[in-house]
Amino acid sequence: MEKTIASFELELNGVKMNVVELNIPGSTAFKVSFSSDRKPIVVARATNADAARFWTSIPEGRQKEAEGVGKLIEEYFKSQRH
Amino acid sequence: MKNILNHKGIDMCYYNGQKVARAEFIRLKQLEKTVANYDFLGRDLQQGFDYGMNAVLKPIPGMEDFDIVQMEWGFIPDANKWPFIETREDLVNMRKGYKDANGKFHPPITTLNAVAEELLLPNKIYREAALKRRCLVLSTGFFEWRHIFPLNKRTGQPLKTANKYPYFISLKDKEYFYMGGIWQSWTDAVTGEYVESFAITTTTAAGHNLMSQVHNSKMRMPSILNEDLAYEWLLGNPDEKKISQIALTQYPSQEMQAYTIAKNFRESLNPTQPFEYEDCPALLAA
Repeated sequence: MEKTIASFELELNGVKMNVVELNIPGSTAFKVSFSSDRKPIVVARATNADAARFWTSIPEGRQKEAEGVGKLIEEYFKSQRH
Repeated sequence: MKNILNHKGIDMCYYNGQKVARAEFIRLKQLEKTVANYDFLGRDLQQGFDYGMNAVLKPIPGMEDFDIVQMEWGFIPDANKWPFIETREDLVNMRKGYKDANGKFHPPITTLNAVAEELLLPNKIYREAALKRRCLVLSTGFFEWRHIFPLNKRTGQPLKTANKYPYFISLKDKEYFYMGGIWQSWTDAVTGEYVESFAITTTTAAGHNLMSQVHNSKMRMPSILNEDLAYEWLLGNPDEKKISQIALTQYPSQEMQAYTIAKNFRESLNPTQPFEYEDCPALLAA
């Protein structure tokens, strides 16, 4: 079996985002590059102490951005199911 | 990391401000390391002036072997030698230029490239590294700007301002290649941050058919090394004469290729995508 690497584009407020799933065993992480000057970010799903899922930046330090970008990725996958 | 206990008495930590269990904390930290390696090997564009991390081959002392590590592009001089860089703030000042307490502006000092012709001159900041700490910089290709001076329609003379066209340059049939590099370790005197940084050695582009046309403003090119020279540079024991010879290497023009790319390539998601300009003359074959 070969793993399919997801790659897709999103757009928000005129800024294009290129999202690439990173092929990392045991974890789901996405690298997001922006058409603006904003630095690329890697986001991943994590589980907090209350067993709730949340998006985080890898490495630490860009939590707010990770939440925003993660939400867009989640919406993208939900829209693909319909 | 800060340890706390949750209501069940299980040790907890914080990741990115979120309370997580230790096992999840460890998983995320491992993910960080995997992503760091994944990222630096997979980058499409490595810009010098963002002083980012790059993939570098570094010898393992005492062994005929090497590691692939990340180093910061932009050689940070030994803190005991001029310019005296003791802290990250000093370093930013050196790289960007700054005004001192008297309002005097000190222009930036760029240490991205080490000129091969001056590498071993006494008192040069690169000499010790060239003798003792050589490395190879992994590359898939690099970018340079070609300057074309349009002709004045009335007089036929070249105008003073050039049109600039960016080119992507790579080796034919080679996905990766090596550039000669030198490296230096440095520790921030205040924070204790440990950094390994490097400069790429450059040679003249004069007489090189491809690069003398592409980088015609500065006439410089990186010292691209074939496998034999790369081995000698990294793992051999070359004397000063040989070090200079290797650093001065011009990779054969006929084994290189170059094409124009979009002027906004730095912001592009695909910076190496070819882009043709009607007013940019074709490169001349040898």
